[in-house]
Amino acid sequence: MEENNIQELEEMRQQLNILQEKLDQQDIVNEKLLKSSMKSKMSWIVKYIIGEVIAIPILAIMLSGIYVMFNLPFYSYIYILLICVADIYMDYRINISSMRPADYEKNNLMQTVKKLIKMKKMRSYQTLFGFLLTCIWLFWLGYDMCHLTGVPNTELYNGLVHGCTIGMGIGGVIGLVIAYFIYKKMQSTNDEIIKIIEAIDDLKDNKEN
Amino acid sequence: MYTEINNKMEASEAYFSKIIKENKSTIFTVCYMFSNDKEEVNDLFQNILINIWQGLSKFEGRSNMKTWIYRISLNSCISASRKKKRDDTIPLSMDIDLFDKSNDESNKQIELLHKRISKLQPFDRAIVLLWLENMPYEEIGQIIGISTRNVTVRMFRIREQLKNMSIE
Repeated sequence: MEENNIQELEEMRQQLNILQEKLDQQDIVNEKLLKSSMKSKMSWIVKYIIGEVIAIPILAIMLSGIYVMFNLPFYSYIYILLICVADIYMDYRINISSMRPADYEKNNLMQTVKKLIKMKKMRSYQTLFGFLLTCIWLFWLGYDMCHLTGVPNTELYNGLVHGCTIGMGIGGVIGLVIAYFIYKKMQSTNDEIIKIIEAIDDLKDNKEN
Repeated sequence: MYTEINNKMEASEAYFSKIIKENKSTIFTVCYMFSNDKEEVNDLFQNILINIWQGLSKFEGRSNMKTWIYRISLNSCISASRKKKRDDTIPLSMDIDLFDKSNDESNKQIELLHKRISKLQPFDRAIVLLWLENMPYEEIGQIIGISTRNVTVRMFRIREQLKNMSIE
């Protein structure tokens, strides 16, 4: 019985050889497939920006509700929405519009590397300014919440004000932390691409030696 | 500096292409054994290429390239889920369809192999594939991430399963 079973496995081994002989005669891979695999590293950033665009109207509606409820001046509302729109525009400019599919063609690789380096630098500036401007908004909003006018001085309203102030403060800090991690991940994506290039180059050198 | 980086990028692309072209049959075989149709093979194949490209910086040359390619391919296939299907799969350059029923004797043999292997659990498929490639138990264990003893036990069970298949 055992012998019969081994014979079966040997049969399978022969079948595998037939398969691999057939496959060796096929091209299987093509240039388009290889390029597509190499580009995939940056694809999550595109999805992230699409997510941002979808989230902005939702954020605008939710914030406007809070502003109306507490009769807050709308200046800081307009200010934060402008920052969000500008941030998304910068994300788009830095991460999407600056990289075209043609950049991955062999003739444009030098340009691609230049862009990757520039991308990292621009992203650092964007994050720094975004952080500072968001902090200003948080303080501004905090100030406005402490100087409310035209709202009923009831226990319920006071409770809501306190709850919202604390909630927005905590939410703001969490948002800033998340933004920082996304920034770090974006930067490390660029670093990994550069690292891959260097590692492959080292491998190639070792193989030649 | 840019010329140097440009040269490195060109070299890396060329090296990646070379690795894939040298191991295309191995990668395809793994995908084929873990798939039920042509689209699934395309999907898995592309996923593996992405994983190889992304993992190249971590390849330290401790194992040989073929072993490493096997490890990535098998791990990708075992953890692959149809829910995560790519919507931008690029077709492979092949003029044969291994899922197409034909009267050709070699195709029948390949079909039989696929039928036998696909009846096994994904983990056992990986083990038997490596065994068919003449790999020692120790190396199979290293690729799959289990002990040599565990490979021996599993191979015994696989033999039993194959035996039952032939009785059926």
